[in-house]
Amino acid sequence: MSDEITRLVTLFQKGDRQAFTGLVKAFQRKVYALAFKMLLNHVEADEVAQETFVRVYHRIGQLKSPENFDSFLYRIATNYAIDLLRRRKGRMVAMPDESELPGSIQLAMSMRVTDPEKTLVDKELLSTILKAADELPPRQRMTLILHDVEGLSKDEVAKIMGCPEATVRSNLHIARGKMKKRLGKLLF
Amino acid sequence: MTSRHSRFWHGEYLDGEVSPAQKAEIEQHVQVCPECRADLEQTKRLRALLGRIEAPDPGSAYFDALEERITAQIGSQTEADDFPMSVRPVNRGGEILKTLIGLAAVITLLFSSFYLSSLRQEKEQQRWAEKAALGRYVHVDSTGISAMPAEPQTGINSVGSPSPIKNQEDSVDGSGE
Repeated sequence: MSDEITRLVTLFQKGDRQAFTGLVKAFQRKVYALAFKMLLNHVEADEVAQETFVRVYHRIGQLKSPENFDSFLYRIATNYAIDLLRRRKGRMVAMPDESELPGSIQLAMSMRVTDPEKTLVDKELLSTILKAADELPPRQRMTLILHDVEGLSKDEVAKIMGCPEATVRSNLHIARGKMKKRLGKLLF
Repeated sequence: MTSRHSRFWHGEYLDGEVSPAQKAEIEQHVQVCPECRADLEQTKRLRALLGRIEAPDPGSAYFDALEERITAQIGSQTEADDFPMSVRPVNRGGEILKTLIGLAAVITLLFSSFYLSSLRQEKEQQRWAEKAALGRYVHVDSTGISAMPAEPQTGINSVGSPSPIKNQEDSVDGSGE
């Protein structure tokens, strides 16, 4: 984590609200993106992004090492996303489609989708992968997203998930196994 | 490992987390085991696809609005929001003072009630002593010990107020006459 972020965290811990605003600006895109990958819809990703920063504001006193701010932040975001996934369980959730989003957001998202670089990815296959990931239990799914999608190390994932590295390995192995089974021949 | 399937280690192999010896063993095994070779290919493809997942960008206007909503939510949740709840300086002197004032109030209340009750008792005793000195309403029994006061014989009751008979006599309309 950069020295500038560590400085902002330290200032914020001393009560500087401007420093908090700086941290929101620095991390809101990352938190939103992580939440979107976990929940696969804008409305819930937006809820996670907002609630994560509110919780960070109230709990910053619990962070002992400012250098670990990113793990602390992602842990709050991940836990909140897991809560949302568990609340979803057992009830039908109507996933909002992009047409329900405000105009500016729709435009920004559609621009992203039509980016020629991104069209190289087989969108249909990607959509199938996301659906398969959506069926994984919350903790296995989070482990897979943090490690294989976000590219975090097992040690970092363990810190964020609040579990031993061995559990990360095990969850990752099971999640990948299930994904391979569900996707079957699509992966060849 | 050549005799055992290597698929449990494919994740670690692709993450570069196996020892050189294990790496060589896995590579040797997949050469001879079509099942594990297929699994390794599948794992590679899955990881490659997962690594290409990107969240859509909702745009700068959205993030500006998000920042405003976060600030508003914090403002509405925290009354004294100059500092976050967890790092807000605690006014320990004020808290101690409040506790001491509370304790002092309780002690004062206890002492006053004790003092008042002893004062009342003292006055009562004094009244009885005065009455005894006057020799009125004191009944002396056969043992010579003073007991409950005797009922007055005249139109004055035991507490010294005029008797109902007397009241009737003193009534304004004079109906008793």
